[in-house]
Amino acid sequence: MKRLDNGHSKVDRLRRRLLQFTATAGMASLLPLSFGGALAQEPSAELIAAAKAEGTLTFYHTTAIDPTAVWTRAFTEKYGIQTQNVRGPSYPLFERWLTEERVGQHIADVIQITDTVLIENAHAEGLIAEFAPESGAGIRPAMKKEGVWYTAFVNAMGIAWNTDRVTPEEEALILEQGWDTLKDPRWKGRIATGTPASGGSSYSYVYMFLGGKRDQFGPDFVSAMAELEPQVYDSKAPMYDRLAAGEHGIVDQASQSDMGSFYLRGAPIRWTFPSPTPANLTVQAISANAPHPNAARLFQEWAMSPEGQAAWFEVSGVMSAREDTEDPRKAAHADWYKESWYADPQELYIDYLSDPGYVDPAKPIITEWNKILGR
Amino acid sequence: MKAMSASDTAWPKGQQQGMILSRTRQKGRYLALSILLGMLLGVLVFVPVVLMFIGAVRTGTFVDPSATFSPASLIAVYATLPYLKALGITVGASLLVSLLACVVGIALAWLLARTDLPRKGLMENAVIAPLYLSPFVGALAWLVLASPNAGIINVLAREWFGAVDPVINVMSATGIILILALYNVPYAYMTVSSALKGMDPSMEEASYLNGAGVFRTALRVTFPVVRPAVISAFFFVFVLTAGTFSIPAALGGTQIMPFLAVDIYRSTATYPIDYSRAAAIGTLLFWISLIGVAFYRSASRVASRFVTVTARGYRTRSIRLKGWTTPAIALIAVYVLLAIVLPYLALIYVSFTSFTSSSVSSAVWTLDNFRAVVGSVAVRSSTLNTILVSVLAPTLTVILAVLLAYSVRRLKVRGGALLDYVAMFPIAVPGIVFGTGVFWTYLMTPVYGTIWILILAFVATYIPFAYRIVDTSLIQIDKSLEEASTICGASHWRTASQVTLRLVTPGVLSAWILVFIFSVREVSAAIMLASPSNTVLSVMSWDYLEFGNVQNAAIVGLLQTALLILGILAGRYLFRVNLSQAA
Repeated sequence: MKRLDNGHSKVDRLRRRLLQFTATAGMASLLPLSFGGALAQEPSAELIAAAKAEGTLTFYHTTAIDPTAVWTRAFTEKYGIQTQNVRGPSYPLFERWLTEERVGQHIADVIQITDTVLIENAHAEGLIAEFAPESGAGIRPAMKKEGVWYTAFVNAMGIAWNTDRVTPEEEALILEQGWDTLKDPRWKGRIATGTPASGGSSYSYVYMFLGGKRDQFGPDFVSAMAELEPQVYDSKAPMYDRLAAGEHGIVDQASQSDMGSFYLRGAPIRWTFPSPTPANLTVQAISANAPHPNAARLFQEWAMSPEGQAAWFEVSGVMSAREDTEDPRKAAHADWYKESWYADPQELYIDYLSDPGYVDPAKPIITEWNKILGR
Repeated sequence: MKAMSASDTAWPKGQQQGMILSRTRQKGRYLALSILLGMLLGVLVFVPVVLMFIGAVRTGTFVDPSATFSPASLIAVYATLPYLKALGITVGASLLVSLLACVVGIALAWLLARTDLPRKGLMENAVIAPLYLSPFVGALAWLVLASPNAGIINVLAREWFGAVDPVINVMSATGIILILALYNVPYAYMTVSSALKGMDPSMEEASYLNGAGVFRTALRVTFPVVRPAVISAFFFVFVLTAGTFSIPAALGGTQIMPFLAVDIYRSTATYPIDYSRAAAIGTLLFWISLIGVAFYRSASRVASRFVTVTARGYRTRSIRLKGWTTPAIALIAVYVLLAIVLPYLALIYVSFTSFTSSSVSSAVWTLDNFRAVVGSVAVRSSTLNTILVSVLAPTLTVILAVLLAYSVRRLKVRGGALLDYVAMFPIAVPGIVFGTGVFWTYLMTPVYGTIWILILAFVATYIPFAYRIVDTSLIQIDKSLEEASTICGASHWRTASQVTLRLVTPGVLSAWILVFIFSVREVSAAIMLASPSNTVLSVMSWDYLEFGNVQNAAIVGLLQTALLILGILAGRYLFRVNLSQAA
């Protein structure tokens, strides 16, 4: 039966309105401050000239190789500045960068990872440049730390399933049950998940269950999921590939960008964002000893501008960190936006970034999760 | 009879030098060379290993301001149950893999070296062809073919034969062991094959003349003679397998089968990044490998006694298989099917589809993946880096190997035994651990971040292979050939260049090609040392795999194979190198 109200209950609608109101009110209160930023959309001519003189920059990132290359190419086309992109998984990449900086091998200019705690620790050590791009004024307040890190995009995570392996009745159940799907015994042996140790996004996801929203979920919830004997992947990406192939019925930690990519490639994948929806921020920071400081700053100016944020939509279906840019797909009701089973996340959970449990460098959630899953 | 002595001035000068050459030890004569080689090997090989040991007792990385000395990692790795369990399973699984690989390798070697099978050249190349595929790309192909629910073989078995359970499940301990064995058969084959080919056939002839049949001769004469080679192959494969992380990691990680090398990788790739834990596990693997290498060395020393390259020609007799020809060819065909045909078909399938579908008939075919990879700047620069590294590394390795082998065997430099030992040392260190050691060794030097750090790592990692091949070639040379040269009045260097080095040239070229193949495929050390300007294809492939673009990982894997085949063909037709006769 087609759900004409987009699957929103009254409570959901109210919650959404409340969120939108708060956001608008928040933005309005910042309006005087952002007004100056909104006017000066283009970076200063001096910065552009200095950046062009440097001619290139090195960009350490954790986002997918090819989409990122397409994204940075837009920057290159606008300013004529080359980017050397280096992709690595969050933690090893950051560790390598830290090591290089500590010994004086200054290679990276801009770092883009999914873990804000690491960047703030590096900032405490004096390795992050203090720079507030003017375009950063347009970034939602919760998605930046002025002068330190700024969000390139937001990736919500939910549950995904393979329609060849899931009956329509089961699909209806998933949409109805939300997170409780992960406890339903019918999925025993048909479910896969990723370890929170693999990267910032997986960690943020698990943090919601065992940390920030512990009272709502907690270890009992995760134990119930462990009973389903999920296949645990060390890295999410091969997990998605196996889901598309039909090895598993459902997976969690399904990120908006990855699922969109599989959808566009014709895979039988569908996904949903039960509330509250954990979201991970992909954030950017500039190295204090960047070999190409001006190019790095110009890059960040561009990445945080409406143009740079919108350029991401060309390559990936994510959410912008800005209020004033939106995925053109959504406006056009194209791709998954036209599907009856799809709905944007109603309640994003992103205010965990300063939680003591989240910033604890020992990341006790990971140990607890490992124990429950018997690893 | 008057004993000849070096002081006899009645002999011409060149002759005296020749006689001096063939006497034992020249004390102090080549000391400088010995020290130079020792220092070179020391920096290349020892320093990274020492840094690994130091890293095992630090709480953080070498440049971490808050790191202190602590035995915590060592205690955890050497004395707690999870790691001891992983140790047990790693050793057990590696022994099984060795056994399987050797059984298949011996069978294939015997068939291709002793029988009258047709088209041996083709079959020999087919048997060692799995070397051309990066092992984890092969594992990826098998994942596509044989994962329990969506593997293509299992899906077809369900559709055609109504099978309920998966026919083959690579995401299991058995599956991992079988795949590991499959990709180690070429090493076992090459070792045993060269022993068989180099064996003096007169012993087998004598056995046949005395009325023994084929089987009896094989069991009672052939096998005992090649047994040392078999043992050396067994331990060689054991050491290699124990240090492999890419195949177990790609096929399901430690959830299915705890494996020490995978733990090392996870300690450096997932949270919490714990280099000291990685180093501690590395030391554990180091001891295991060292024991394996000790067995391997003693066995290969014995093995070389039975091999000769003489001034006299000889022919081995081929056994007529008659009725056994078909089963023999079937065996080889099955091996080739499993090791080459099926995986490559799977890779090509994956490359041309937009997502990995378990149903070949309903797959979405596309050229987009190819366009993306070919158009990728990163891939193009990786290809260039790969070519540079895999041409420079073998060249330097082989030069060093020749210097070492000649110094130890012919010049008999002081400390030759030590040099010989150190040259074989790197086999005991798993690539991923060695890569970490190399990282710390060169971090603060200009080579960091360039292709030279990779070249240095590869030279150090593969010097044992090159050295062993060149060394074996040298040993096999009948001294009478060189003596003939000196008796005819040639000086030391003339003998060396015109006779010795010419005779070892096939071995040298084989070593070059082997190190070339390894350099293109190598992933463990390369991952640790990757930087913007030195990314190579194997790292790109792993990156793509890790980030879920299995399609692009497969294409880059195929690109690597294409590069390797080009290299092999160049070797075959330009330098007349037949790799199947290496080692």
